[in-house]
Amino acid sequence: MSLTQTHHVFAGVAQSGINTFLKALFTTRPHYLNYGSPSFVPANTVDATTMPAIPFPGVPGGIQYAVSFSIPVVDLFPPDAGTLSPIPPGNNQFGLHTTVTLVLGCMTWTGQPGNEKGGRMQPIICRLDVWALGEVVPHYFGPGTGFITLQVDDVRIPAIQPECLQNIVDCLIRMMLNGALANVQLPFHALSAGAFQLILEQGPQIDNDMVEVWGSI
Amino acid sequence: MPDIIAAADTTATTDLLHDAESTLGTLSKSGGGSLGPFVANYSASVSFSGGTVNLLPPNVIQIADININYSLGLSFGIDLNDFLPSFCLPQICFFGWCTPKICITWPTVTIPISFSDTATITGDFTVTALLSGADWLVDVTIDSVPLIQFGAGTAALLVAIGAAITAAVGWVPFIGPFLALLADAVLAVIGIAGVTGLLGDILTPFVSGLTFTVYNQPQLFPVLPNSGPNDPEVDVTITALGAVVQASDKNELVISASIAA
Repeated sequence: MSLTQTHHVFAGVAQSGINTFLKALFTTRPHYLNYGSPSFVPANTVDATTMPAIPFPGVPGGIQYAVSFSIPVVDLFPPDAGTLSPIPPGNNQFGLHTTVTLVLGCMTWTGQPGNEKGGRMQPIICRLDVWALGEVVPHYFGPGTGFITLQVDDVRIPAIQPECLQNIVDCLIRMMLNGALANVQLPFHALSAGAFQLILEQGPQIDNDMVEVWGSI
Repeated sequence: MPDIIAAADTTATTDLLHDAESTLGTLSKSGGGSLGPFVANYSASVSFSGGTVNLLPPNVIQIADININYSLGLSFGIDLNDFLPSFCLPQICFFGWCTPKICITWPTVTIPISFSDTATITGDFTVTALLSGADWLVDVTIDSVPLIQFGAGTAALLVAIGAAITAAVGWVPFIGPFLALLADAVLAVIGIAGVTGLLGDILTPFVSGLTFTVYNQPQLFPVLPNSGPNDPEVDVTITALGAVVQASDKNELVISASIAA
């Protein structure tokens, strides 16, 4: 069977290529993976994105925190042999593995009038293995113009108990991870290493450990 | 498995070829060559267009009927004495006063010609991926010097030469009665063979080693452009590139790349 099938051009990026793109993107722009409130990230830089503290009545300055992900590693369908993922990718899906580091600025203060109210902040750090499942979403703006993104549909963080806490953390990390991955916009021209300007007709499809698209030029 | 695979069928490869022809642009050359018994100086500009692709595994693109669009500026000198009869006006005397004897010596005249036409070639081109400086290329290079098909162009060039001779010698005194004779005589010694020979000499260097570049990307390949102080350009390095013609239910030009962050 030809690669182009019933179309005129085909472009496919292997799992290794997708992971190389992710490594290049997040190494060059690490602020897509690192977030923190002003106590941890005072200003936006190429390395990290500053976020407002979480306001809470009576907590001076709000709740300080930081969240960072390691560079995600993608596993395109079919799943890698020996994968440890509790949610391996199915047809037309990708699996994703990353580590999230959660940091809470744990504040202690007296709250008594006349006393020093600034208090002390002790960072509490927790690293969690994150397994995710998702799909590739095309954004097509016309002939030769567009990109694909990675959308996370499900997240599993093993070994969190009880189940209600696991659901909360899973959902929280899924939202954060989707936010971070929204910045992964892999343009069409990169899918063919610049060989041609793709007019998308079919795909993207995940199969044979590749993200595949078809079209004409 | 390579990191990236791009495949184009015959239709898409034809489009890539036509883009490559446009990118190659207009080529120029000047020199001298034989136009029958004359030595002609020329300046030539050539561009390529069209052609029908046939993909032949493992690494040949056969291209039929590529147009060679050429424009020539030619000039050559003619010693009119070689073609026209010499004669003298006899001395005539009237009542002791005589006119001088006048003998006509024909000049050497430069004939300028501008001519444009299209020829065609058909040939096999070999596909090669190579790193040239800081760029990865996929070149398709003609295997041998093909037969250049001139069509009606040669006859048209002969007509143009005849017209150019007529225009160039109009100033020569006493040439009126000999004009048609001169043009016919010069065209006879040049002939179709002379025109074809000169066109062949001029165009062959353009098609010898003819190379179209159907892929040209920097080794440091830009994935995302710079979009702000915290969002610098994102690049990957193309560490290896391959190009083959792959056979299946329809033949395809397949370009494969390995990349590194």
